[in-house]
Amino acid sequence: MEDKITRKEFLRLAAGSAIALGLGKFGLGSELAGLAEAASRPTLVVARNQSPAAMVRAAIGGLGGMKRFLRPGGSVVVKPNAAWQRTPAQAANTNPEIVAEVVRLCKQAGARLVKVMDHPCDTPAELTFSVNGIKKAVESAGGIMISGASPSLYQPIRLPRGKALRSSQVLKEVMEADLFINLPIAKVHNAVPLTLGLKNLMGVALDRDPWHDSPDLNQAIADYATAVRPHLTIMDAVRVLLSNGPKGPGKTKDMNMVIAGTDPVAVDAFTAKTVFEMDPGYVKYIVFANAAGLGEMDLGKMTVKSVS
Amino acid sequence: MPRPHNQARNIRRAVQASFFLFFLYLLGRTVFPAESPIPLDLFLRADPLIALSTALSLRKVTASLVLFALPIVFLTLFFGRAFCGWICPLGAALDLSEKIFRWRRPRQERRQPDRCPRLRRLKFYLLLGLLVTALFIADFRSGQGVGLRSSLGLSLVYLFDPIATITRSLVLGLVAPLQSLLVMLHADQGLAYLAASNFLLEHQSLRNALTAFQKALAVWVDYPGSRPEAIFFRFAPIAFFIFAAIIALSSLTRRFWCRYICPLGALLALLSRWAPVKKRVGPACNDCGLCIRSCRMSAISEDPHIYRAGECVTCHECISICPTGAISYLPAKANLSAEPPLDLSRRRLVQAAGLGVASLLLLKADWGAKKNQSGKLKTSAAGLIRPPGALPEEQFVTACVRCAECMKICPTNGLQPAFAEGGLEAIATPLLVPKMGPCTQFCVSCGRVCPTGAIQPFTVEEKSWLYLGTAVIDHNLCIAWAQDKVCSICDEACSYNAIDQKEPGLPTGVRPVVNEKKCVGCGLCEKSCPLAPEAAIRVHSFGDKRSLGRQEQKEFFLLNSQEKGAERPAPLPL
Repeated sequence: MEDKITRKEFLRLAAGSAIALGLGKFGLGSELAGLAEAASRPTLVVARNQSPAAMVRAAIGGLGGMKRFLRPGGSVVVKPNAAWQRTPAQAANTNPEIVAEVVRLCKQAGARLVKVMDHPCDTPAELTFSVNGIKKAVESAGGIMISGASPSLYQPIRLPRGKALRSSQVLKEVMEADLFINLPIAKVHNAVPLTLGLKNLMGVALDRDPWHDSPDLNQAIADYATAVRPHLTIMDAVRVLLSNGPKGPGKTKDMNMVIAGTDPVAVDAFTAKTVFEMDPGYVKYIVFANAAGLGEMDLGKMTVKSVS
Repeated sequence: MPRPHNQARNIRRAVQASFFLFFLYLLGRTVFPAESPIPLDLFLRADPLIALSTALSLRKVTASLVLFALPIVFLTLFFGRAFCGWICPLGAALDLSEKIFRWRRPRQERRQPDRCPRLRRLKFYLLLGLLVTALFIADFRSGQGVGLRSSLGLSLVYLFDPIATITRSLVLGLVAPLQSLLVMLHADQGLAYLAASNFLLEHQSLRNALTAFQKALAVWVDYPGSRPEAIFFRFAPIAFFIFAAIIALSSLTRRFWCRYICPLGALLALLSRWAPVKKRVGPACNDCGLCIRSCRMSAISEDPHIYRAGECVTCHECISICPTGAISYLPAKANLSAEPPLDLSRRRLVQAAGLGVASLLLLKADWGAKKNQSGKLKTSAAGLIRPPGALPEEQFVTACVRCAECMKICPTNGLQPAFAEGGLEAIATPLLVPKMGPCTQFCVSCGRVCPTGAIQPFTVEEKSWLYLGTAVIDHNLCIAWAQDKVCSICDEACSYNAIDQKEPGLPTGVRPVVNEKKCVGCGLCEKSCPLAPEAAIRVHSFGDKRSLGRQEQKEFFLLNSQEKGAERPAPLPL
């Protein structure tokens, strides 16, 4: 599976390590593994045409199982898209069955606490989490649903590599968790053609208005991703939103796919191409994130495993 | 001295306290989503004065309005003004405050029980004035001509009705400050942080205890990490001080409000004239006069055998304090001493009626009553966005008793009391302030708690065609229009697909455009717009289609909601 490492890749790995050590000052030392992974050829796992829960299990299994990411007794933060007051059928939020299964897998791998967090766009948060069914799903799987509405849950974060955004906030839990899983749903979006994993990270920031006010929202998304790095990205492409995104109501399509990987750029790029038949280069935040060395967007340079 | 006759009074105290706690409980439970087997606005629905005044002014008697009010009417017909002593929450608040503040009995009262006997008549004049105002012709239903059948009165009962007053005062004047206190307790390092901490999360029983504590504070707290949002009500200080003033009046004379002002008390006093159950003073009476001095309503005259049944609130204080046990309740017999006559001056009654008409005319001469050319909207209503399901404006201002239940239950804190937006006739009625809180799509609570039907119940589906207003984008402020920034948060937030993109597909051409036919004016866009304090997209009150009625609004929506051309397609790949 792994090719002999080329000189170019070695240099990228070295550079990545140096940056990771530098970023280690900000408590991001554990991202070293992610950066090293990103520097080499990333692996994605795609599960198709089963029940949502089965696809999640297959996709994680294909990456080596949850135990590869989590040691027993560790803490987990899961960030689904639970931002909108929309029912599951309307495909504006992550499928609650997928969220429940991720929680279950973490618990089976020995997680001490599985916290599912989002700072929703629709208020009040309590109503949002009840309409989109995610709170119920999380609790039935033994997880804890936490609303990111309270400012006391955030810490400021500097984005020294930012080109459009130089600082923001992040949920304290996200930075302290042993395992941070990004769990987006794939949708079209009126402003940034597609909303995928990198964009889903907006949900762990408190104040998003400066992002929109920055010179370029797409650059801001990439800037944030330089400092907030999920260990694992699991893309819900079971039912996707094809029009009037990100909230709908709009046309939905059952694509019956779940994509998992450790390289957030690769997952987004693959989803753009495979689910929406869109060139990833068209989605600017993917391009900017790739340019910042956060991952690989060239589909020819990633390994895709299909599991059924 | 042994007091074996305390039992009845103690029962009254227990029942009165229970009703007061029940009232507070219902008020505390008035939080989203308003699912309760007992109507949360029960006390307001049970108020006969509200039912009477609303039915008269709307010229409409509906079962929902009148049925709940009947029990208290029957109670009064049999037992006299028992409501005032046993059930009324304002009465309980007054009695409680008298105990707390220990108002010293004014010296005059010890010698002359009733300081101002003629002032008692004021409440009757007030009652008449209010009923006349409700009966008189103040306005006409929009679009139905100017015949008698389409006429409307003006109900001013909200000013003086005790249940509406105490509900409004507590919601506007107490809930918001209490909530602020909770918010401070939940501040950094406070309860919310604690609740989300790993320690508590691992100890289920402790977490449950904390959640139960938060829930008991009548805050909709569902899970750790949630904290009560600070809520804000316009004029909270004014509402509080008006209530404080009403309470403070009791320092002048016990139950000042109930004796001299309360029109509901007046109505019940009239109804109690035929009550078969009346107080009887037996031959054991030794004329000690203790009962006269202990009566909180000064209903007993200088001769302890004679009392005004219309003033007696059946608190049983006299029964408990009588040293000989001479007082008891029995069905009225022929040997009952004659009650002093009501003695309402005819001249004053005419004056009261006249004043009622004058108030009505004055209010309707205020600029707030002027309608636009089609007769359907008020010209003053520039900032007036009503809750969904609201009756057409001229009916709304008379049906609304300003109880503030809808304001309390609105989960986004968007409903606020009006000041000048609808003119004087609409003061303190609810209006939506999107920047405070939008009308979120999946909520139907305000329609559930309105006691008079000023806000008619509605469903989530109906919200798509209950037009409250229309959003308008200021192209000079919107950062997408004015600065070519990538922002379409309003489009994202819109639940009704009422915002389109001009020139979709171009990376820098993302510019929102409002589709007036689909925009219901919920204000989600205005709330989410990143500009502050004034959003670049704001809801204006044109587009309010309440005068059309539900069916026509639905037809308008269906006719205009067809997507012109295809829905915005996903952009083509390069």
